[in-house]
Amino acid sequence: MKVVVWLLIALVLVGIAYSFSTCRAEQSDGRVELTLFDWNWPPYNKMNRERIAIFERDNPDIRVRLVTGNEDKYLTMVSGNVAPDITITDHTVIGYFAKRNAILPLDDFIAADKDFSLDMFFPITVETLRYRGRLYALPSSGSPVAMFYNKELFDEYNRNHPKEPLTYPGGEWTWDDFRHAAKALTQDRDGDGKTDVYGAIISFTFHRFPIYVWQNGGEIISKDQKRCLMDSPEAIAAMQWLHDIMFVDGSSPTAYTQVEGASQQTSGILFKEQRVAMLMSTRYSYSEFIGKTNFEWDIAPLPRGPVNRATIYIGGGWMVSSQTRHPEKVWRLLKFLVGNKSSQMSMVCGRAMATNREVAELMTTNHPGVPPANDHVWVEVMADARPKDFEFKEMGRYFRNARAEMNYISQGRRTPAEACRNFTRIYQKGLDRFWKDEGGP
Amino acid sequence: MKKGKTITTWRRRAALAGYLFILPNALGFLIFTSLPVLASLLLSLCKWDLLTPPKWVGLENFRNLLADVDFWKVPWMAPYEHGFMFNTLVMMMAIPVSILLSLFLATILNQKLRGMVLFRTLFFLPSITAGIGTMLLWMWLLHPDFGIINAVLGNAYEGLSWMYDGVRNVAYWFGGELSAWPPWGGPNGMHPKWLNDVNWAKPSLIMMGLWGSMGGMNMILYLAALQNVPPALYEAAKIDGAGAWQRFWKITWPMVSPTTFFIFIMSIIGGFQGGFQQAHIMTDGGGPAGSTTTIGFYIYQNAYMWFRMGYAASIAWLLFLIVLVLTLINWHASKRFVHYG
Repeated sequence: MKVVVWLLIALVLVGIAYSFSTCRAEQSDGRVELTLFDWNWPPYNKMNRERIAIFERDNPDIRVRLVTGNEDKYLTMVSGNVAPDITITDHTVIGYFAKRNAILPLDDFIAADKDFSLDMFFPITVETLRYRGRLYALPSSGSPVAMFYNKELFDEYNRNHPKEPLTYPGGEWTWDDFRHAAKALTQDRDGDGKTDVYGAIISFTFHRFPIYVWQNGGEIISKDQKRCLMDSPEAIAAMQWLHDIMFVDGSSPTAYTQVEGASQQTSGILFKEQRVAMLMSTRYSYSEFIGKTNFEWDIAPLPRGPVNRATIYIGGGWMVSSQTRHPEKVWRLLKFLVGNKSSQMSMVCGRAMATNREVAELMTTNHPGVPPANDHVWVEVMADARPKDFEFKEMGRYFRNARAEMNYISQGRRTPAEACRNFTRIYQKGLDRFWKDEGGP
Repeated sequence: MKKGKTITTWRRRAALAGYLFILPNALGFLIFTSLPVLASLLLSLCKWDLLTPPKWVGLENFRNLLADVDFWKVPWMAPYEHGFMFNTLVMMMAIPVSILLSLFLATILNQKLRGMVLFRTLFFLPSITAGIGTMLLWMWLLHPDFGIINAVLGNAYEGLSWMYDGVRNVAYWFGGELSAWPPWGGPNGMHPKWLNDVNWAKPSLIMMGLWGSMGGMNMILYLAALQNVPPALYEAAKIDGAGAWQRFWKITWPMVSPTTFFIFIMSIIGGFQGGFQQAHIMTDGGGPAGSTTTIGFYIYQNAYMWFRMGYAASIAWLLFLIVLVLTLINWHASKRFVHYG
């Protein structure tokens, strides 16, 4: 029996020794090891290895270990006290991590570094990463929502209707122009009574519908973040407008419409297969379209709403763990990641748009002959972009149920007014709980 | 005396060797299973977001769980809204069907015919195929536009439509009214939208589950059980004039009842824990509108999507209690229905 006890003790000691050995940041070659956490996607992984090699060449005292995965893995690492030094994140969770002191504010680093200025970024990309006045991450990449349109479908329509031609979408377009064009471009080509090409594709997801609410003068939540305003007349009217494009005009497939002959029913595929003329999406969709389409397409700003021309911004940033033991070296890596070289590599890799203005300007104007011709639109619409200031991790299940209400519109199961009222009720319940339990955002 | 001492020493050494053999497994079980299970019990009494230290909240998580509408709601409370307990129970309704199909298959595959081994292998194939592969395959089979299932339904559509119109007319004469053809479609639908439809997503997963489970391990267990039934019993029954059904009901069914009991218990446990992979891969996270979110997936959502570890642990422990109670009931009931020997 004694042997068993000794064996157990030995095993525990080996375990403790091993766990200490894995905690070492100083390597045998004298270099400090930093951990960089990024989403696991093969093209990113390859690009990350390349840019790490460049960084290590210029910073011989640092070795960077790349860890890839999703949020589950990151959280497990944090709770296991082996948090990565630098981690990619979506801007909507910055507040969550900052409130729990899991990440470091970067203001002191920025103030101490005379060579670094936040002016290099688009302002919105920085503002989304602030929490209670302090900056908790540096912008990595992002994109506003703009309009992809199939130029050939517009040209075809204009050939067939020379007396009432459509203009290409552009900054001067209004909601009425958009609705008219969507209706005009919707076609039943073979006369079998079923629509073969839709003018547009309307989405009721959280990444899209707030745009129309904002453009109509409404808000999802109040400025003090205490009240849901989705039952306002402006919000309901915006949802009604989307609903009518789908169900009154029939210019957009509903959640149940199966577009005959399309290989898949996702919006990107429908656009790629020329089944949809106009698609509202982000620059992240480029990886789906560039070099994979055999027709001419371009980008335009979203049509202007009755009140403004707002769009939504989706992006993220690099945050620094409060567990890091080498803040100075981490700052060096962080600056490299948002610098010109690294941002260019990231943008080429298909990571939407660089948040670094200089790189974004350069890379959206410097590819003649490759669609889209008006790639620079992304830079222009950044001025109208707004963050998802209504999405809070802590409201998970309320959020899911509220979101489902909006999807019910596209399924024909709720009127826009019903959906908006239900949305408000569910979201408000979650928001009240959030304030009560956690003191709000 | 000396002989006795030698035997004691030998026994001790044998015991030590035995302990050493089971040590790796026992340690693994203690460290990686028992400890986390106990930790989860403690966690269920805490509020923990993984980033800050757990905060003791007593039974609050359990109280919240008992009042969690998402967990308990049923479609007749609010249309299209399917609670996660309801989803899990509906999907588990396929268990008896699956057991009967497994027994049926095993009975057929127990015949002494040439090439039977090949058929047994074919029916067992779904169990050794990677889950993700079969799920992707079923996603294509169930594709509303290109899936082979709707293609077959499409061919049958015309005939069924004609028959359904007849039934509708008869109903109309008697003052009743039936919905327009097809009775199962969505607002614009001709065929079921399967995984895309709140009302069809669960039947879709049940269908896939039946396909995977009827020819799997359950069938193998039944095959083994059937081969252990003494042929003399059947011969005696035949001599007494028993027909095929009587032989099955009076001999086969009681003789395989321990296997049925084992399969039933395991299926109930698996059923309560299941549905995670399907929700994750096939229905984009338990959709549409939560109609395929099972208890297992809800635990994952709470733990890793919304960082509510304590609440997730409390759901897991409620699940454990439900399974425990059901198993005890089954165990008690088995004394009446299960025949050993």
